[in-house]
Amino acid sequence: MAWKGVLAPVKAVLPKNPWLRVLFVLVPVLLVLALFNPALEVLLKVVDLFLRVLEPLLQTTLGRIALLTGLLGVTALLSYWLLRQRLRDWRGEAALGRHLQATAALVGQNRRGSRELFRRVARYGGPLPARYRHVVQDARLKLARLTLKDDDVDEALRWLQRVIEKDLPKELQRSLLQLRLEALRRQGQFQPATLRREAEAAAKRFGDDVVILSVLRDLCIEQDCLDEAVEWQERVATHAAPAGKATESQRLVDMLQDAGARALAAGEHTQAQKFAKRLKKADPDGASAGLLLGDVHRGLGELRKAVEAYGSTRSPVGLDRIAEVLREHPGAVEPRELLAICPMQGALLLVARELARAGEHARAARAASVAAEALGPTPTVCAVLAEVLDLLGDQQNAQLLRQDTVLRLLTP
Amino acid sequence: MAASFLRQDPSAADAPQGGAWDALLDVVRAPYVVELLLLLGVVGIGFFVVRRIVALVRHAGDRAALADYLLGVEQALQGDLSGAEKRLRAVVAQDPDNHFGRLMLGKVLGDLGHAEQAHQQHVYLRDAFQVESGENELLLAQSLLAAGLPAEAADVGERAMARSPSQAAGWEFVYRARLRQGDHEGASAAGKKLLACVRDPAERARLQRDVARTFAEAGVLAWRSGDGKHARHLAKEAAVLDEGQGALPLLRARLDAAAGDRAVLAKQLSIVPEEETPRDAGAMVPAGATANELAAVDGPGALPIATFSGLLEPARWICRSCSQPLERQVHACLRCGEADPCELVEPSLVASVESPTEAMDRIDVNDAHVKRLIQRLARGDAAARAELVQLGDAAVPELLRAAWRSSGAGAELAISALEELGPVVAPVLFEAGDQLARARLLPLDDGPATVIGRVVQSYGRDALPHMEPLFRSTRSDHRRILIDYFLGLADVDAFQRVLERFPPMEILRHLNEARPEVLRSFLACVPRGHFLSESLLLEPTFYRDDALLAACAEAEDRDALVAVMLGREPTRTLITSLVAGLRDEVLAPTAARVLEAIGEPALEHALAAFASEDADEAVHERLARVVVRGGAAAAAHIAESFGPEPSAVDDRLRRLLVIIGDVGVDALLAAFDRSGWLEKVAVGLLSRHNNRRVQLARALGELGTSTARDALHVLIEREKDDNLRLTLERALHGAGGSRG
Repeated sequence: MAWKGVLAPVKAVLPKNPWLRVLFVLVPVLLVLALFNPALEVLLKVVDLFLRVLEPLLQTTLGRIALLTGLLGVTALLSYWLLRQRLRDWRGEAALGRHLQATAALVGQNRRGSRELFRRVARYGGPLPARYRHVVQDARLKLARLTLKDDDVDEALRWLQRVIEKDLPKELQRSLLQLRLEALRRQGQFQPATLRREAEAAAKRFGDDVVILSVLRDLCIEQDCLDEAVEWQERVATHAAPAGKATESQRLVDMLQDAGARALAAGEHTQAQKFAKRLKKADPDGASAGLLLGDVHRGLGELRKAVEAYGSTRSPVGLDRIAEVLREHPGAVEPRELLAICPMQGALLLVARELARAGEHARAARAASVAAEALGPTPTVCAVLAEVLDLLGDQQNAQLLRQDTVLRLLTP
Repeated sequence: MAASFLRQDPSAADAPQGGAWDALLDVVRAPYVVELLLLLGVVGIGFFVVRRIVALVRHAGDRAALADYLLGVEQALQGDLSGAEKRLRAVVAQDPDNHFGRLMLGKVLGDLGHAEQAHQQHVYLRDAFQVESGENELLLAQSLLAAGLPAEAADVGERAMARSPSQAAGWEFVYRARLRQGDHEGASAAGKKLLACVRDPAERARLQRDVARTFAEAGVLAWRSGDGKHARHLAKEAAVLDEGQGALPLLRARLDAAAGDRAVLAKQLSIVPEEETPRDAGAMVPAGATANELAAVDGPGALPIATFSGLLEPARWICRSCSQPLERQVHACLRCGEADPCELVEPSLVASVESPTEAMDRIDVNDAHVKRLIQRLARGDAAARAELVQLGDAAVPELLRAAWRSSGAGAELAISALEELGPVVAPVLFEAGDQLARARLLPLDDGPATVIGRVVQSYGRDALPHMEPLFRSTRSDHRRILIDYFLGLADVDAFQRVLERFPPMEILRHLNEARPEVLRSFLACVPRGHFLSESLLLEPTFYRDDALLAACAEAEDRDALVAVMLGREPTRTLITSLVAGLRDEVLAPTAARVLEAIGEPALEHALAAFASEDADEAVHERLARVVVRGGAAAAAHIAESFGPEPSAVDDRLRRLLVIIGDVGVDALLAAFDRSGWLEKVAVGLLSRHNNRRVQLARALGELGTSTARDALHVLIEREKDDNLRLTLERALHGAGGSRG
């Protein structure tokens, strides 16, 4: 290629238009040939020879086809040589156009069409368009995403492996990290520790990326690091998009509940109490925090505090837990105290049941009456009061209560 | 053929023609045809390729902010919604015709929770850019759903699905939207179409169960609206999809009840088999026992829920939009996607007890509870009264205290409640009375005995056994209660025991203090010749003449009471009562009779009442009759009743004098002669102070008898005042007796 360097000054002098360039070169050549007659003759002889060779070819169809093909080929080569830069631009722009079509198909939920188009762009090896030089990498990432969605993890990994990371913009790098982590985790052939290291590095770089954080959470769960998983889930719930916030918050609440239960089972009451506080923060309007706190107190034998915590939830589950406490520890809380710390109408049922179990029939009957009056014939009231009336030996009223409840259900 | 084609055999041209194929072959064999065709083919292919490339290039070239668009889409896909929003907003600003960029922006805005902005972008696409895209319509529907307009969202979704009816995701969206709208019937229809699009067996089975529930819920709504036939059809549809659907048993029972006897069916369904205890029967089971999901939440001692042998699903919550039973409190409904969907099946369970102390007091039935009931009773609460009566002995002390300490209607209501309690509470009542009496620091009033006495009066003979112990008591309040009780009995024979044991003064005191109606009933029973009528009631310290007169109305022996009244001194109280009695239709004859019998002492009172303007004509008539019976004495009183100046009553008084007649003429003459100090001072000077004499003169004139005329003559002769004399003469002239 050294001759290119030699010709460089000449090229610099030549005009920019390719036709003018050709003319610029041909004119001196023709002049030289005109000045030197023998040379012209030689040239004419060469032309004559060329025509003699062509003539037989022109006589047959095959020859004419060969000549035509040759002519077209030479024209094409010449055109290419003359328009090569423009063609390179066109190719890049065409690839970009295809990529845009694929993206449009993806946005329009035409997954099959978009996959085909992305596949063609992903295989493209020509010049890259100046306006978006990451077109091929982008197509590969999108293909990986699509195949991952179709649970074709190996195919996704293949596409991801072909993505050239160098000079990728941050957005595509983030996608690459996300997809690779997800694919590797789902493939299951990599060591969790390796994956986790990679995920943690990704999380350091993109701390608010819900997908990366979710992968980390799942990895922690797989490795049985459940408390750590809760921490990751907290970050997931914080950064989740509004549309998915409810789901992630629910998952966080569930995980915190499970973590609290585990801590309780392990006898780590302080830890469980911390989880209760975190639950309160995660689910301020829900009953879960109060229930866990009540469980903690129950575990510590602080039954009054437990009942108070359960009662503060103002939830049927809270009432259930109080019922459990009273069943395990009859008389642990006086009825009057119970109503004071848990001022719910459902607590009247508990009072009635407690009094009936304690053999205080008159008070139990009155409590049942007060409860029935306050609550009306609902399924729970029916069940509990039937039990109470059964204990009081008043089966007839129990039956009437059941009948009244069913009648209400059957009445429009 | 190819070889001959290449060789261009001239003999072939001479071959006989073989139809169209041969003709075509001949054309092709002609010189330059193949070459021309080849040239055209190559040029055509070249043109096509170039055109395609140009189209792609132009497509790319038309887009501005391309990198931003593509990176924005990638950001949206990776979940960086805020970054994507920023980029895509910039893209749409630079290149408004980038429809997919706008579509993606709408989607991102929707995911970010900006439903209104997302809706705006999708509407732009549809209306401003005329984009007819099913995807845009679906996203538009989603934005509507996110904005809380499920009905509109479902409608738009259905329109979108008209373009691509085999898209499962679209039908699923419509199904969920209809569920969120609460339109179970619409959801059922969408669910059926969704089922037709789903191929995965597991997913299809899950959806079948879901759609079956929707059909059953639509059936419940139809049943509620009274369309039993349609409800039955929907129940069948649900059963076809999932026979074990939890909502079906109740719907079937409701439909059966609507077709038959509801009460009988309710009874049948509520019966627990005898050999099974309620907890084992399945009629009432703990929440966790049948609902496996709930079992994790609820422990063994939890409050049970009656399911009535599977009629009800044991769930504490349901979704407020789609009515799906929820096993626990969740942040979003998995069925319809509603956020914070939990609605308690039994909200009353967690409803606040207004006052726990009050509720517990009610259970314990302590004094505080009774006091509250009494407060409610004082406000006229019938339920409180019923509860107090139901409480029996427990209510007595506080009721007695209220009756004693309160005043007005509150006391009356407490007393009536005590009366309603009946004689069985008498011992408790006396005991409570003793306690209250003992607790008094300053006995300024009578204590609760008066109230007790009044209460026991109402108990009648049934309380007699409870009264016996009081006879042995020396306490004044007990004695009072006893006397009041026997008074209330209205039985003179029974009262004999009181007369035998108590001093007359004490009895009289209690008689004086007795309530009018009690005393009236008692006096009505007093027979002639009894100690009471012969002695006790004649005592001047018996002040209840009004009761005596009132008792006459219902007395068996009215004369006995008349005799008592006449036997008593004509006290002002008696006469006032009698005059008042004239106003009563029933008592008037007796009152008039007694007043007439009393005579002059009663005249002045009767006259005063007669002069009053308050009474009606009939009462005036009665009073006039009583006065007229007074004769001359009455005339003297009337003559003194005229005022110094004329008044409205003068005519009526004159009329009385006329009725009395000649008997009263002397009294009139005497009255005419007797002049008052004002008349003496004003003689001849002030004519108006002569009204009394003028009235007397006119009365005599109106009487018109010879005695009256004689009296007028006498008066004319004696009279020195010219005016009066003129009046007398005019009266005489009016009486038709002028002498000359």
